[in-house]
Amino acid sequence: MFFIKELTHTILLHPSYFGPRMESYLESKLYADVEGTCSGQFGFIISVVSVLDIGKGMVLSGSGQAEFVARYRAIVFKPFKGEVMDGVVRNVSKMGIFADVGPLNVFCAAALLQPDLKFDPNSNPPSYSSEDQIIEKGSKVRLKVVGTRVDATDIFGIVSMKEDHLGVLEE
Amino acid sequence: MSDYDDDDLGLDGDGEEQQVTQTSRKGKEKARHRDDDDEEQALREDRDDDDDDEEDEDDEEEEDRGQQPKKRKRRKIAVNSFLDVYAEVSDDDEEEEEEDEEVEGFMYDDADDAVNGDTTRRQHVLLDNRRQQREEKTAEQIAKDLTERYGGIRAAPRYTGDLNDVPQRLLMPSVHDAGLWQVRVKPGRERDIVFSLMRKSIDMEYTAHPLSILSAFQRESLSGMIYVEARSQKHVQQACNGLVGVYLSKGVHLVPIEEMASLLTIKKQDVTVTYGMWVRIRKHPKYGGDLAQVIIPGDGIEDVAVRLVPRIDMNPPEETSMLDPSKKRKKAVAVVGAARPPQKLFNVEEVAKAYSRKSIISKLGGEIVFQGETYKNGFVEKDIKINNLILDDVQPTLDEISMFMSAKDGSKQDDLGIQLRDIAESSRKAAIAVLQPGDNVEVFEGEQAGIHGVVEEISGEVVTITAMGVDIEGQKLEIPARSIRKRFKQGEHVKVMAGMYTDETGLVTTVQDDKVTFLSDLSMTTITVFAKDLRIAAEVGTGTNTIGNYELHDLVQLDAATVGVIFKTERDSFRVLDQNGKVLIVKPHQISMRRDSSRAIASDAEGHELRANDNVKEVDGEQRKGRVLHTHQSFYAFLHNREITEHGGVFVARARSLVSLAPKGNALKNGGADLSKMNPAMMGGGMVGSGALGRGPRDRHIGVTVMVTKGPHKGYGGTIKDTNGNTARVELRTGNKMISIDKDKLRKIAPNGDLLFLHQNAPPGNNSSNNNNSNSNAWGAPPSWTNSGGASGGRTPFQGSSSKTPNPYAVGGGKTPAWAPGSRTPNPYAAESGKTPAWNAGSKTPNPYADGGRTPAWNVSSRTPNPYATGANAGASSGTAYGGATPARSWDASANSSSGWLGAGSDGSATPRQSSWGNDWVSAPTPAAAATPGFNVGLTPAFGALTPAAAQTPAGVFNSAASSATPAASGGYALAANDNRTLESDWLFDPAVVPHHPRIKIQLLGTHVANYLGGEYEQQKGKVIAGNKAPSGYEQTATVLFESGEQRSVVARYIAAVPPSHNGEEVLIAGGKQKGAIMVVREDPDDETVTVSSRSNPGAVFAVPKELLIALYDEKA
Repeated sequence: MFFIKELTHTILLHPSYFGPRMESYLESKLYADVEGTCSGQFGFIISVVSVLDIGKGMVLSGSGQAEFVARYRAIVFKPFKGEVMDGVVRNVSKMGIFADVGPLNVFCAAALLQPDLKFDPNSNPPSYSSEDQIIEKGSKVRLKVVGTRVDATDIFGIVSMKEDHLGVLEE
Repeated sequence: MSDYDDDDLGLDGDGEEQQVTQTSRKGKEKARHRDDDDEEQALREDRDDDDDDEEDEDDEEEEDRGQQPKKRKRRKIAVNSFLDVYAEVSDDDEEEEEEDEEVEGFMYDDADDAVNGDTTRRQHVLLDNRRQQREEKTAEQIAKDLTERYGGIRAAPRYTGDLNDVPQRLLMPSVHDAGLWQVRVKPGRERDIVFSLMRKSIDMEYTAHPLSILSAFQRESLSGMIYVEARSQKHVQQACNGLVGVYLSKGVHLVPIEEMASLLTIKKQDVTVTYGMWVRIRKHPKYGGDLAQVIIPGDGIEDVAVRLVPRIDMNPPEETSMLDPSKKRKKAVAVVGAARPPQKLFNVEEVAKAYSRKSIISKLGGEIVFQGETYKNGFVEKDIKINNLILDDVQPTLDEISMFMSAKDGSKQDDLGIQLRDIAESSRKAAIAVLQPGDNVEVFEGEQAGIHGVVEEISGEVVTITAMGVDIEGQKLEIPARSIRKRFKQGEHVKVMAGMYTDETGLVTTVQDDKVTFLSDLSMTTITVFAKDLRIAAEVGTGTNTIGNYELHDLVQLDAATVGVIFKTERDSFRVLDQNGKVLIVKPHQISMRRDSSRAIASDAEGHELRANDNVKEVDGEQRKGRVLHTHQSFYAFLHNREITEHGGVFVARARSLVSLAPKGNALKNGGADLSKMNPAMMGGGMVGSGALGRGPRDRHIGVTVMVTKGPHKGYGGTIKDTNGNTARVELRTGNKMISIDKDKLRKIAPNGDLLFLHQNAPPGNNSSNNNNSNSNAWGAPPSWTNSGGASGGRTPFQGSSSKTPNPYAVGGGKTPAWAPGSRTPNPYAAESGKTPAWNAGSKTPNPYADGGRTPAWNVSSRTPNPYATGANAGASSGTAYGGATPARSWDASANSSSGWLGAGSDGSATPRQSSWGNDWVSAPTPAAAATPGFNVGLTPAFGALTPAAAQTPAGVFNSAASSATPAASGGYALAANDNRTLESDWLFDPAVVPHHPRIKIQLLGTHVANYLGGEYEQQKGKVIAGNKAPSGYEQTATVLFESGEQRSVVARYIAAVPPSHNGEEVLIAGGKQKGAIMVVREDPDDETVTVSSRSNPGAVFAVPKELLIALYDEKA
């Protein structure tokens, strides 16, 4: 699920950047630092919408670097159990399929695929197929999250397709 | 088993593990009857290896020689059938012997009917009689008997062991008995040696020198030693002498009396091996650790027949495939890290394909013999010693059992079914043990089947659960523990607690009964385990990531030629993919080291550099993509791709066949502008980062001629070839040897033979001689002015040449210590003022390295935003006129400080420093000074004292602290005139300079960094119209008329002198001896020193450091 969330990010700025264009640098550093990262707590930070406050820099004694605590608003993406998402199949193996839902990697075990889908190891690329659908690398699928593993810097999901209206999306 | 077993059955029936021979004792007894049948006895003994029980009887027999063998045999059976093996037929005294005789005779008569009823009856009668007699004895008699037996009187008939009648405590050995001697032997040969001893004893019994030992035995639990009973050590040595495998040299030790009994005590092992039970093989080259099923329990014999899932190498090495199996197996074991063949049921077709069909021999009943082993129904059947089996805590895993289950024979199915139930049972028992309050469980059998809940309490076999769901939500139920099992839901993060997947973590994908399938976090493969072995885990499976010092995806060196990447960690071993793509199983101790390839660079197919963490793709082959984990020897690259399931996603490729996925060229171009790349402080890695590599030698000590001053190589001379941290590799001049040695133990050999600390520069004398040449000191580089320790020497040339033109900004002022510390000397300040952060910082600045040290730090720093400028300014908060000019000043200043400040700086004694420029910098490093407003406040009194009358200067011109400023400045000035090489920080207000204010060229430096006036005036040139004296604590300012025509007041510390730029220019010498003099540049001023002479006397040429020179505007201007 996507959220707009206010977050903070601490930037350490080297003294060589203290100067007229410091703010713009701070901003670009903020974008570079946080966009595309993932925090277990909030999920994937998709995009910084706006910088609310770059903060007052505090020069740290000892290093001379300045610490800015920037507040910004960002679009975050966090998967939840039970959520239905669309993804793209990235890898198909005997165990099941791996798919990408944006930045999120998910795995759908073979047992959680629709029962009529059978693994066809001889096809190229390997695929799961039934009479009316085929899942192979690149297929667009609709999935339901059954579990997530949340690390400090990554989220991984287990998904299921074993329900109505899930499975391959028709083009 | 050994060939003794047949005879031993009786003895070993209860697991007894010792062999006792009582050769000599027998000998003694026999001696009494020697008259008639000596030879016969000897003969008999030979055949009679183990029948100790009967021997005593034998001894008393007096029979016909010819009939002996036959009779003996029969008799044995007859007696055995009535007697417990331990209840030996005794021959306590003479009467019994006679009776025995009768028995023998009788039995002999009835030889053909061993179990004849008559015989039986007679035996009973005899036994009863004997007992009666014994009981009739009075206590005295018994006592007497005992004395006879144990009193050491050998002539008396000796007790030969009827355990039933003598109290155990009387049997305990005493000092009067023969001792027990421990003899070291070759491990594994104990039993053989005991038998050799026995044979030897028998052989030598009737020779001139019979063995005097009484018995010998070994215990299997004590490997490498046998015990010999003998009266003296000498007898033991005699007996053991000449036997192979006996280590007499290791000494023969007497066993303490109190330990003798325990040596012979047999602890009954409660071993129950039942048909069909699961066992594990303890140690075996091929099957070690494998699960096996007992097929013949062996009834207390040491061997147990088991069946295993065979491990047959389906890729037999050509040459060994036909050799005998034992040899082959040995060879297989020898290969380090070689994986043993996987478990697979025996398949005749497959084996025939891999080996020749001839090697397979089929027998009746479906048995197949292959390589000396018997296979049946796909299993291999082996006899294994019970000692080599693990009977308890076997815990078969699902995989192992399913392996057995996959056997296809129908006949065994029932058996296996039973077994499976057993397994289920045992695993259920185990499941109870692993239940914990709080676990999610479900009831799978009984009335409450289907209910799930949370464990509240466990008391023995009953578990209280709080039910969840539907109508009984919240109810507490008591359920037998065996009826519940752990319950996991899809998507839960679990951790394996036991079994071969211990510590794996993953997300549950499917749950089927008590089998849970989860996707491993690490290997991205699905694993199925019993629910009982799982637990909900919060953490990600890091558990198996590290064993010892090695971690998953480490590059490890296995031997000189093999490196590999760990792609899987198991309980106590790793799976490593080596550079040739082979998978090895290694234990941590087989890894010689971990290699760090973080700095290794290989080049890819396009010639771009390839480092760890690059995302690359193969250009040929499978075009696999991956992230570079490591590169090895610029040739191999180990890549990782989560999508590849093989080898945990790790694969190896040639670096040359890879191409980067990210367009690299652009990144490099952009990188040029990225300050963070140039900023060592932001590079995390500091100077060691590869980014710094291009900027100078890796270590300035490399190539230095040194002498070892400590350790075994003391006094040796050599050259540093390489350094690593605080150790240096030194190539000794003698012995053609490289040694690794602590740098502290090295001293640099100066050209004049002096020994210096490594971080020291050449000594002053040397330095001074070089000053004018401005190069070629010990470092072969411009002399380091910073070598301030020996400042006096360094001053000399200056005195001669100093005109007073201060020229601190001299372009190309290569002598500025600014770079010297960085580029040439190993931070000379480390020793002197290394405590001051400014210096350390200074040595890290990129500036010194920017142009290989040739360029003065000034220019560099003034062009690039110098991080340290700010820091420095901050330090000099109350700053002096020139304090903030550039950071380079700081070096410069302190470096040149001379004796004037001797007592001032914290480091003053080491570095006599004086510098008008340097004041604040000197003080900046020491917090105290920095804190004091007015940089030289603290210093002045000293000067005042020194040159109290030197107040030549109007106080107004001088910056800093009010009244004390004057004497300070003047004092400093007076002294500074001698040897200054750079401008003092308050040069602008130097009395010698002040009169020239309208003429000197100045520029603003450092404003950019400090954001002073928005940096707009940076490098703007102009001249000072008026210098205003500010009271202590305020910034010194001066009014400057810029070349643009603008006029404004500027903080004095941003004002820097403009060095002379061309020949013939007029300059003011702002420091040194000639301070205040106006001279003309006589040579193009591109060196650190500039040749100048006065207009009036062009012949008197001086060399003046460029920094001391200030360019002047033409007089008319």
